[in-house]
Amino acid sequence: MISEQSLAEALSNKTFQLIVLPTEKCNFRCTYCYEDFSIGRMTDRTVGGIKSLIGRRMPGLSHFGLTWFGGEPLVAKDVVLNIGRFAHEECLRSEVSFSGSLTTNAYLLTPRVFSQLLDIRHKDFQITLDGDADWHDRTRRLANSQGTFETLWKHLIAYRTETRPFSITLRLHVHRDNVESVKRLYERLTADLLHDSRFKAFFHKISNLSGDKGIPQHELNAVEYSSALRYISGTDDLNHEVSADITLKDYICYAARPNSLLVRADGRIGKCTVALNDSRNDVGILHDDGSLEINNARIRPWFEGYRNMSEATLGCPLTDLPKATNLVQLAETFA
Amino acid sequence: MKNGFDPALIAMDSYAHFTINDSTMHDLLSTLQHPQIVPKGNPTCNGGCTNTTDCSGTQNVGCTNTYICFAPGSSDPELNK
Repeated sequence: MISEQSLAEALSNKTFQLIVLPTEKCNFRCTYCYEDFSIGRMTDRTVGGIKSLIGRRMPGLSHFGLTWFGGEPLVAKDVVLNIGRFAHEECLRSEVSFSGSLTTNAYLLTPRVFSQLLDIRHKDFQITLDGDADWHDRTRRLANSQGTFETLWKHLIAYRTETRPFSITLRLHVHRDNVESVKRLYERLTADLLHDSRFKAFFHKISNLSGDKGIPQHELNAVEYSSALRYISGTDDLNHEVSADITLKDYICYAARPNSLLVRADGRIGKCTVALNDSRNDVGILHDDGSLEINNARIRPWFEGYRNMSEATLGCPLTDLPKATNLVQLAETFA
Repeated sequence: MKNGFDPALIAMDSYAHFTINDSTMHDLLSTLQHPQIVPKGNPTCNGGCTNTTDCSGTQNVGCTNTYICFAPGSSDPELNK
């Protein structure tokens, strides 16, 4: 059941989140990836539009969250630092709480870049590992097919020496074929990182989202997944330091929150970071002056979960979204 | 707890402010959002927030996936920075 507290957070105009894709290009070619990398680096005009929107949205805000996604956001590091620095300073000036976060593969997140991001209050990072080096390097490879594990591990160990607060969620992908590898990785994490409360492990069941092109990865069913997590973590009790997607409760996805918008590298406005090739995700456009042209008839289906407070639909509105044809008819009806 | 409302009652303007034209929901949000519950930028709390809804700390009654924790009754603006 969705709590009133979660509802209030999701429906508050005092909070605003932008999820920005500074580029949809990536330096990785994960074998299960669903993205097509067709849209390149954000133009200066869109960068200016985002900064104008942030500035215009400050009055009345209590909290602004800036979340970076991609592609790999640090392929466009200059865009991240440019907008991130602006948001950091604008929030300071307006006395608005601010948090910056990145979903990054961390290959370009060198200790120096990490420090630059902490300087502008980007303290939350989600970094994915697919297992120990053996599995990780099979599936999370550079575009030139080279493995990436050792570089990421070196970075993770280096972040430990940072004295400032931060939060790194290590998203550990689990499927039928990599359970032993994730168990080995988890043992390394426990020994080297998880004793530092700034690092957390988050298990995620994964399947191959790339269609036929990826290395086959066999999805675990619910019972097998629970059993695998017990085996890997050695505990039945997943707490906030070791959590998993099966422990999500009272969760309203950002895509179902009216106070959260996705800005794509080409200035299109969307809701969901997964449905990037889905026309139902095109709900508006950002203009150069920072104003938004939102098609309310297209954005409302993302809020359908509020009709009956469905935990499943609010947790992932994409699953119950009307088919594209129906959505076009709906948009025309409301136009 | 309200059962729900028609999403057609949500409308967004050109600077991402939205309105919910539903009086019961308006009352609920007014009650919950101010002044009893305000965002709290407690580093310990933020450190405990992940993309789940859990949150550590005795003062915290909730956490979103934007890493915000909330403390009942707090009005110290320093906590919001």
